[in-house]
Amino acid sequence: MSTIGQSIKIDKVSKFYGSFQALDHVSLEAKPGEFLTILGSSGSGKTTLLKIIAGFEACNDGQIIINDEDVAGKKSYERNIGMLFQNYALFPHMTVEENIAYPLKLRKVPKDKIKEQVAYIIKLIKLEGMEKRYPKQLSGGQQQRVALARAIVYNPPLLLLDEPLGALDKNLRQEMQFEIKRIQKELGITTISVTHDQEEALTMSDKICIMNHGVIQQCSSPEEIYKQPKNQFVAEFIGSTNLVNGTVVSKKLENDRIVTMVQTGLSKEPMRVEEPASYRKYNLKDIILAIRPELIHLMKERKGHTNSFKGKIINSVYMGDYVRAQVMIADGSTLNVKISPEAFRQYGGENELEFFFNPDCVTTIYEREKGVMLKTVD
Amino acid sequence: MPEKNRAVVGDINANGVPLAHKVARVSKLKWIILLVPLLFVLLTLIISMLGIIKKSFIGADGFTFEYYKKIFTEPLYIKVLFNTLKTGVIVTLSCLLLAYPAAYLSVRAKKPIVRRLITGGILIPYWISMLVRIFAWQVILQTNGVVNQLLMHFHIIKEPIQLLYTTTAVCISMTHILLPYMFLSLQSNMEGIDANLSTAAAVMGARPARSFVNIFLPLSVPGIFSGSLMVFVLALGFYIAPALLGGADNMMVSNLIEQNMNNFNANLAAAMSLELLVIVFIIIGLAFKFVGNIFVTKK
Repeated sequence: MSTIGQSIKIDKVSKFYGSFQALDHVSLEAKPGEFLTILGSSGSGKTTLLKIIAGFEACNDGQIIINDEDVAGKKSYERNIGMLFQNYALFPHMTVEENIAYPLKLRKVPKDKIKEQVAYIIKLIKLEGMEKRYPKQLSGGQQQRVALARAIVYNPPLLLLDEPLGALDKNLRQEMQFEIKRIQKELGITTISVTHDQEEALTMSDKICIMNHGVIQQCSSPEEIYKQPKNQFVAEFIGSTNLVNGTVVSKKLENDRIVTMVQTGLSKEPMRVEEPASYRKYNLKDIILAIRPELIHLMKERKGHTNSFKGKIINSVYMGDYVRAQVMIADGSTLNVKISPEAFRQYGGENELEFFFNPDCVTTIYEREKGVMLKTVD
Repeated sequence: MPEKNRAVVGDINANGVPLAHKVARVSKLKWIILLVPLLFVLLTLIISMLGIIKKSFIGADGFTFEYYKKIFTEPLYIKVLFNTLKTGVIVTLSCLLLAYPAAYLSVRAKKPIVRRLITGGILIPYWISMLVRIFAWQVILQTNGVVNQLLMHFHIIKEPIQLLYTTTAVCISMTHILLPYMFLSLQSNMEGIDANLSTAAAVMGARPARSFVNIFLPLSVPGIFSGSLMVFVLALGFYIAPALLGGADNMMVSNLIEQNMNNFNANLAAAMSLELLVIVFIIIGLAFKFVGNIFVTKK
């Protein structure tokens, strides 16, 4: 089956509830067949954005362009969008078959064609033999498969997922993550998912847009979001990270990489940070360094010379495949560090340890204020 | 955590209330609690019912089917029974037509105040004495009443029409009285219908009318059935409204029973009471079977 997905572009969409601004000039874009996740905590405006895309609510300003057509003024039943609801919203008085056939009936598809299409999709979601059952007779995972089938059976160019895995238990969640991803890739449907679950976002998405206070904070690939957070909010929101205040000492271009020397409280020597030149940065003196706990290493384990600092383990928690240690550094502040259980057993008790991190494993963040995007300086 | 710690101390919970399983374990106490209301019903209802059954079969000359023969063959009795059923159907349908949109709006209202206004508007009259409301209808519907004056004022009719002492008057007032039963039954059913279902249908391409017919209406059928059942059964036994607002032509079974009682014809009255009771039982039985099926396989 070829790609049925179409591009979607959301252009400077704003939404007010009274004087409260739920969305502030939100812009994002998804290519045909792309899986885009809007990630944010509750109250971030992500659900409002989804409602506006689906047409349940009107936006006050901006455009929603699906396949080069602005649908902002259209009713939801005119938009031809598929949507998977958080509580599935299966029709309780219809069988699995009838539920899946309903959108086709609305489109006046001939009966034999409906039968064919429903059979195909039931096979795709692996629910053969359940056709005559009512939703109440299915397990949560099965219900979700039916809801997914019903949302994609009419080949919508755009599929919306509202907290798709929120109602499932952990094992089922992982299974459905792969299942949704498999079906989405197979059909090539452009998908926009809304969730607060960062693991879900990282594993399923081609692109993640992080939202806070009605503003898109960063829209990038999962890897880039994780490795190169644009601001403090994103750095803290995804995974756990250490934020260290610093002052820029020097900044220069070396072999297509920006090398920034930053004076921090970690040690007397400035820290060296290497970032690809393509990352747009601002020219400010006071910055924050974001260092992931798993990218800080013990000097005794590996030999490194740049970016070393001294510290003492003051607290540790055994997590199975690693030990999460709290390290107190020279200026009295603490860092979180992931250490292998072996290294911890060997060196954990020592009074002073030396740590280091690689220059390309750290990100400079140019905003001190939490969660507020600076206007881009070109 | 502190909640949990103080919760279970012996057989009582934190509020000093015995735990449910402890009450259930005292089997004798359970039976005593059940026995009191059972005895009350047995003494007051069943025994007097047995008296009525006996009266309907045993006349001055011993066992007889005479009374049943009379109520099933004499035109007056057949007519009154037919009239009772007809009034019941009209009242049930009017209640349904009035209560359905009101219940729908109250459930789907975005603002809670709208919901409260609709619910209040329908339920507040329910707290006013039935007799007072029936007298009010007498005043409203009389020849010089508000309705006739209004119709004449707008030149819809030239001279007053007879409203009082007609089936119309009886049906209007009974609809007014029984409306809350239908409304509450529909409202509680509609509250259970997930609003997301309509939204889901809309995304799939269903226009609002289509989604209502395909999704909401079928799901509200249990509410329609239970409401209609309640209203219809209550309507069959109505006495005051037809007595005060109806005429001799549109008498209902209860009125005929009362007439026979006053004419020292208690046996006939007993037979008619049982006739009405059996009809009600049959209707409830059939309806519950139907409604029950809907609950089991579809909901």
